[in-house]
Amino acid sequence: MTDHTNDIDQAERIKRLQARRAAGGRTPRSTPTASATQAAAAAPTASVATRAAARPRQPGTRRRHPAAATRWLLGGLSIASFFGIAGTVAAANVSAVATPAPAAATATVAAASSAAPSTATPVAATPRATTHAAPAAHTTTKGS
Amino acid sequence: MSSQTWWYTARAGGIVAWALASLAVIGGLQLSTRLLKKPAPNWVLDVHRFLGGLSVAFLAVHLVGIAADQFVGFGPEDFIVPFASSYKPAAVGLGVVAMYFLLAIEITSLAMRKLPRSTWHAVHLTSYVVFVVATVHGLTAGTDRHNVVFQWACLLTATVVLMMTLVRIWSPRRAARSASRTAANAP
Repeated sequence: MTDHTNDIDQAERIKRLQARRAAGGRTPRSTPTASATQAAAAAPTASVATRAAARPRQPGTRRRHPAAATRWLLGGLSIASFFGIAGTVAAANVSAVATPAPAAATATVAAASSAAPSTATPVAATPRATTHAAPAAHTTTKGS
Repeated sequence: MSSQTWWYTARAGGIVAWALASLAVIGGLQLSTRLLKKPAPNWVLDVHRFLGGLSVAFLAVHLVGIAADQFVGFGPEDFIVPFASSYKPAAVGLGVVAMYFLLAIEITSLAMRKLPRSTWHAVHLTSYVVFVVATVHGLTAGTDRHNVVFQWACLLTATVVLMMTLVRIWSPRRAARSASRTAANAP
């Protein structure tokens, strides 16, 4: 009689465990014929397993990066810095061109008035020649 | 579009690439030294990797800008062969060397799982070379080498890298332990 009651208890516990696992989306590890000790040992960990299985990872999804937000921030900052530096360089170049241009033009005009008109080519007033010094040297070196 | 747009692109791309590579080096040193306690190692590792990739992207912008600019007249051999450029061969050549090392570091990091750890580590240590060579390249070849802000940025970054490197050298046991732990935690 006692053995029969124990068998019923075991069967009920196994059924409950299987139902809980099925609700969590996991396949049961033990068969209905598993022993009572196995079922009893699995019972305390079942809730943890169910909780873990409650958030199953989708097959196609990738794990989120630990610094995903920082990545976006760094990417944005890099692009902003790029355009900021480019804009600053361009503005500095434009102002550098604008400042010596009248002096260069005056010098050119003075040279033109004192010398022959054919020598008064305003080369120095062009932006490239005044502000793009390094590449100009490169081109000269390359050409020679 | 101005005729100098590509030249501005090259300059800005080079500066941003250098800054990102420097930050990646500092991040790597933080991973190995654990000088600061607060940022979690996995977070630093993720940022370190991202900065490395981003620096390669801006290096590409730098190269495209130089190649597209008609005024400088750089040919393919100037980009590929170190010290072959007729304009400041040493300074430009250092940039080419830094590019090769940076690409090697990035490629071996992407293929880290398929490589022996010693190989990856040996290549990864050349990031010091990249930092030094790229900084010298910027200070010698760049048009912005006379810019005070850029000079101060170079000085500050070099100081931080030097200090962190010294910390790492003086605590080799901790560094080795940290590096192995990071590698073990790497996904």
